[in-house]
Amino acid sequence: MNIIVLLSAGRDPQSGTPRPVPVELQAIALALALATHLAPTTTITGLHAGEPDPSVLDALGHGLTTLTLLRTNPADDPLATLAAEIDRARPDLILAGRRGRGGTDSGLLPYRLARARAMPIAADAIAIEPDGNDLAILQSLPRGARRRLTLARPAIVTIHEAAPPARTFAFRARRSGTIHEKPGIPAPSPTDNHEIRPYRQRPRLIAETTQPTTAGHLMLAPTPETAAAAVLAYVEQFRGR
Amino acid sequence: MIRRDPRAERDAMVVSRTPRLRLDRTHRGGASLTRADAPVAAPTIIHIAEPAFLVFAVIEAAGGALNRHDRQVIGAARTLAGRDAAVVVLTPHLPSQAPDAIGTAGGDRTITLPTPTYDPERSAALIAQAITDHAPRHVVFPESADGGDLARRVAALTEADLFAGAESLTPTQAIRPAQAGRVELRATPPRLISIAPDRIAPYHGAPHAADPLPTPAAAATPGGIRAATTLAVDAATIPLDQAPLVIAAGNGVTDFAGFLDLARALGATPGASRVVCDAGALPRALQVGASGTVLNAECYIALGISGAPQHLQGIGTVEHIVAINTDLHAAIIARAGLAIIADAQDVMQALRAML
Amino acid sequence: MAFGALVLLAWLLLAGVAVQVGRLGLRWRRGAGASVDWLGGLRALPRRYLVDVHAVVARKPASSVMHQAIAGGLLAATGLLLLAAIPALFAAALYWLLIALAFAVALVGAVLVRRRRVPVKPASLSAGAFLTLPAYLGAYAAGGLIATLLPGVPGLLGVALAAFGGIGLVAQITGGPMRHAVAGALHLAAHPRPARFAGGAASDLVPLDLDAARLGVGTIGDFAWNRLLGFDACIQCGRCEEACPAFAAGQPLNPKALIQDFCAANRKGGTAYAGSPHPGIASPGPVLGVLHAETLWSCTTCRACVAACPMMIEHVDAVIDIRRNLTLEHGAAPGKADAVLAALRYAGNTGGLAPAQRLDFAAGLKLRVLAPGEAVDTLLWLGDGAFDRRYGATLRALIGIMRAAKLDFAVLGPAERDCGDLARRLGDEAGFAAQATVNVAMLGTMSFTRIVTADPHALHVLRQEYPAFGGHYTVVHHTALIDELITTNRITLGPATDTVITYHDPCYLGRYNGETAAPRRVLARLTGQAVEMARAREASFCCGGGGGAPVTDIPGKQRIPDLRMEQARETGASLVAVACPGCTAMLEGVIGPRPLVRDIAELVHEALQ
Repeated sequence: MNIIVLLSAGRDPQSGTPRPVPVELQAIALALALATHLAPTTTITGLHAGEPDPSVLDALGHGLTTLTLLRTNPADDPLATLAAEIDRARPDLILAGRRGRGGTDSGLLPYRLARARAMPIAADAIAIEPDGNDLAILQSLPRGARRRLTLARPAIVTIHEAAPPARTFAFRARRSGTIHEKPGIPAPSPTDNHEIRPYRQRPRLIAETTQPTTAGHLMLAPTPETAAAAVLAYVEQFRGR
Repeated sequence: MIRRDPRAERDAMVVSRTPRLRLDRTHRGGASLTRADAPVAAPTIIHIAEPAFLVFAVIEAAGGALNRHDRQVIGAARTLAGRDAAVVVLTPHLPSQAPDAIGTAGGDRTITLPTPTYDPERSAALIAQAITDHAPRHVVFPESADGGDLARRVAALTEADLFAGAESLTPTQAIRPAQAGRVELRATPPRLISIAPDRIAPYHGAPHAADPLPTPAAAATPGGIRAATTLAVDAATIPLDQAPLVIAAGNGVTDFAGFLDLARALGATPGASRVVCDAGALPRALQVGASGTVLNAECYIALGISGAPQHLQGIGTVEHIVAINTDLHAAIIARAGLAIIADAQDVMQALRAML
Repeated sequence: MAFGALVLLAWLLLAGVAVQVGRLGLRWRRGAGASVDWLGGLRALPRRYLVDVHAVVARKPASSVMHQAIAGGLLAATGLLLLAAIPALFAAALYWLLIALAFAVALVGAVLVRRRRVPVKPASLSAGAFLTLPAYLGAYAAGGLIATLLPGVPGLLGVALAAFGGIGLVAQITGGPMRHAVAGALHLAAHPRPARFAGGAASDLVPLDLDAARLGVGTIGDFAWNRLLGFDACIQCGRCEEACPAFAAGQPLNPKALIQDFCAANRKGGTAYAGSPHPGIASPGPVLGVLHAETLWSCTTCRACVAACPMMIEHVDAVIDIRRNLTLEHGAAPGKADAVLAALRYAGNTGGLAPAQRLDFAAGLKLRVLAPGEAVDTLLWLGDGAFDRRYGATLRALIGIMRAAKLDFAVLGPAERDCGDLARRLGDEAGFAAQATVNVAMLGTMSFTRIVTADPHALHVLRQEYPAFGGHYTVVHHTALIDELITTNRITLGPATDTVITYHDPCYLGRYNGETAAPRRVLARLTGQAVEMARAREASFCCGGGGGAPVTDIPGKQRIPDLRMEQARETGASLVAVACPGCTAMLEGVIGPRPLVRDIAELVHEALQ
């Protein structure tokens, strides 16, 4: 099986320095776990369209041994470049993080790629197993819920933060990974009219309908039963929404 | 530039005024949101018969009812539509009384998407068809798990960009974070927008008449998702950092088998304080706090936990906290929404008896 | 007849020793190359032995007497016997009396050696071959004594007895306790860190060549040959075991067993280790074929073992060498280490926080932030403790003191990055080098006469470890600064109270940098009731916060800070004075009724007049 992990140029949210996107590192770990289920001929390749950003190279320290780097202008639309590489490499499975962290962070690219290559796409996977010619995907839903999907191959699967942790970073592996560098396809993005400003925290809405009546309430030495009833009432109110 | 109104901002942070004033300052700064507290004066129903344009609001309506995020999506669409345009709510099949709920939430029309099972490919095709049929100016999605997935599928199908996870929205400007949350992008609201939860106010004005529109006709195509089953949630197996409801045992708990039993009965994920893990009474993986797991729960029940600074760092973002402790001056009591000065072990047993 | 046989025996034994040393030498040759100043080392050997080693040995007077008797007697008797090959000496009756005296001293020594383990063997001493050692020593000494005193057949029998003992001892050079005698002497001459004998740097963590084929120590042969020699110098006296906080807490580390693991990894066969094992873990483990990784991650790098070792063995540098291999080549640092190292790599601080948050603690203080090209007298290095709300109080107190003294000082603010201490102790030398390089370059753009810090770890790294990266600074700990301000009357304190206070020495200030007096002088100005814990100064007991131990979080039976707080309680103190953000956090994390924990800066700030 031939697995491609899409890697994007990530940034540390606090310092802004290049840093791999954590969920993409988890995708590498899932690919490695999947490889243990499969024939030893399984190949896992990282794929990045852009410049050799340190954040992408650092993914080599997390269990990835091979990286294909398609040189394009970082401002280019990577779709054509990635689609062409997929046509060439013919992967059975393409993994991506559910959202990037450092660019537009819209999470749209895997879907555009799926559309461009007429592949099915499933979101927010936390486990992937082979299921005959298909793939069995375990999907993370809010509040710890899970959904099991069967997906035809080849497919694109995005990975959720609830997936198993990434492999730890090993400096030696980061240095010794193989990088194949090739030219990508220039594709200037249409200029968008976005204005960019430093991020500003805005207050979240406070749910007026779910304010428990007991909020900020203090009960001094109630009977255990009274206390228990108050706890249950409080918990039920928050659960009600 | 929005002028700041400190009083309104403070009002917006009020969690409860009785019996003592508590402010939620966990989310600092920023301009105040329009407070959607205008009382409904008269039950006049607003009809928009000749809309200037249409705005789609795609909702999830899981379980046949609108949730908070759905109402915020319709509220966002309402904001974009103003008084002259119509909000068309695209919804899964709803029970008969639900159209009223949609009208109350600010919807003028409904389009029912017939997808009895989880089939995001089909849903996306139907929405794309509806977009072709009705040419809405905007389509608003919830930036939720399934809603966000659907929004991206529609964006890919219609070859449009998605303004993902908007945190602020007016008819002339949408704002979303980017570059790892270090910057924000501002733009004139584009066609496809998804809104982050609890950022855009729901609609609280007079109800609209939500009239049904025909279901779009899209040819069924065999999809790549062959089967889908939703699995039952076992609270005990949810990773601690994802659990919505966590109950944790501290020094004041002595019966740990009883504690785990209570967690199971309550449907809560069990956690523990450092002391309890140090003593080996519960596994280290259950430790809540800066040196253990930092929670993202909505509700946290602390049994016999005093609330060391390290522990409080682990529950920094939890909105609803119940603390049961014998010490009135314990740090966790000040942090709790419901504080009970009692023996945690006794309350634990009473709770178990009630479930 | 007997005299001649005895001299012959001595020469035969010397030949035997030479053969055995040759065999040991082959073993040490497996190690990596190291440049050793043999001439200087051998010249310094008597001094190192008589002064440095003796200072440590003498902390246990009984052991000191025992060692002087057995080592002195044995060496003197054998040496004199060898010289008796000179006919003039051989003929001198007085000379033989001298030899008899030496054998008598050695015999007393042999009895004392036996008394160490009989009737009751202390837990920290090893058994095994050590139980037969007194017999060989006794046989050699008694046989020699008999042969020198009695003529005829009894004398010859004495030679036979001495031969039995002597051969036994020579045999024990490769596999048993006598290895210590030979390796010990050579180790003192070829010590891997000769600077320690001049009171120099407290560790020998040299920057790695990050492009090398092997990073750190992955096999026993990756240790430098003189480190292998050093391990063989161990006599298993158990002082490191008694000193080790991780061992006391029941974590799977016994420094004595660790050194013996290294010895075992470098030989085939030989006598098995018969001392206390690493608690709660089955030997052998996979690391170097002998160790479990948990053993290495239990170390708090407090160097209590190194300070307690009479043989000057460098346990902690060896631990870090192996950690380097585990972390850099295998990404194997456990617990939260990977997350913390990533935070450091990408955000420049161990919490992964926004660099600007380093000054959050000082809201309203209007600190001067030094910009590139600017100059100041004192640069206040905040350290990563600044991100911690609790330690912010200490820093505010220190700033209050510095302002009261009208010092010209400034901070680096967002430009400051973590010094890299945690990365280096966790074996991430690449991460440490990156931090050091950035910090040294940043400090190079500014001008200051000294750096003051309240963090002993930052102090140690900036003072002792940045020179290798081109950063040479005068670094002062805040307790030394406060001491100086009091002495020079730059600040005035109120009258001393009668609060009973005990001072906890931070390892990186006391043991690593030898600074134990200044904080005590300050404390003496604050209270008339300063009391000492049983383990203080260079023998201080770690808080459990060093070496990344809170990050790797290897479970034991107890927690190290709980043990230390118990030692503080025993003094009757109502307050534990600390001088390190790590110690503050660890000791304040102890639950239940306990003495208060306050940094010396806080106490001084409260006493300011």
